[in-house]
Amino acid sequence: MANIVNGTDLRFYKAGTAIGEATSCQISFTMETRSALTKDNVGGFTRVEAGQRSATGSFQGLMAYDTTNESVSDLFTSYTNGEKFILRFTDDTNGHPYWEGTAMITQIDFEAGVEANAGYSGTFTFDGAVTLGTES
Amino acid sequence: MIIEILKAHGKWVPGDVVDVTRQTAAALSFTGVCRIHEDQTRRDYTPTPTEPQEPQQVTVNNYFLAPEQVQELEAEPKEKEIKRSFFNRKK
Repeated sequence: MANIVNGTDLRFYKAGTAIGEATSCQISFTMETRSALTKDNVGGFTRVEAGQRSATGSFQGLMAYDTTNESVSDLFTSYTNGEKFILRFTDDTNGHPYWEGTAMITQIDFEAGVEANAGYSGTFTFDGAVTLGTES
Repeated sequence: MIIEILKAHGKWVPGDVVDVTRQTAAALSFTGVCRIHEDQTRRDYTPTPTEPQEPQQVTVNNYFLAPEQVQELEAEPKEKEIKRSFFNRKK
């Protein structure tokens, strides 16, 4: 039976430091398509070719001002400065894959409900290619 | 990888425990900023072994019967008396 990955292991590391008190994260890859339908290949279905690729990452967590990992203040500072950084999505285990690219924070939300944990969420947008590597 | 900060670095002060990539940990430890934390518990997902529990005796309550009726059900059944007739009489 295959070893199912525990989602707790996978984290975003912003410039090498984990996003603090994270509760979930997600990385998404999309690709636009180019229509390649011509009179020579008409068959009742659309024909496409690979187009522009893009990637984004989203993260959620609980707000803690004193976390030693990337705090909401660190994230906000990066957002304000338009900072680009190396972002890696990995479980940091030898032999396991990682996805890495240059990214910046394009959205950050803070939420605070009455008698509820304050939380944060946000979006990374990758600048350029995301590469697949193997932890070593 | 969990590291322990030894020297002030950025926002970190000595004693801080931080989760960084192994490459970052190697770079920081090379400069003496940190050391590998002895407790990598967050990364250890081996479940702690638990003692096997013996199956517990379960008493099922029949809520529809009064206790006396339950005792009647649990009592040993009486042996059926065989009616003697012409067909099963002892020889």
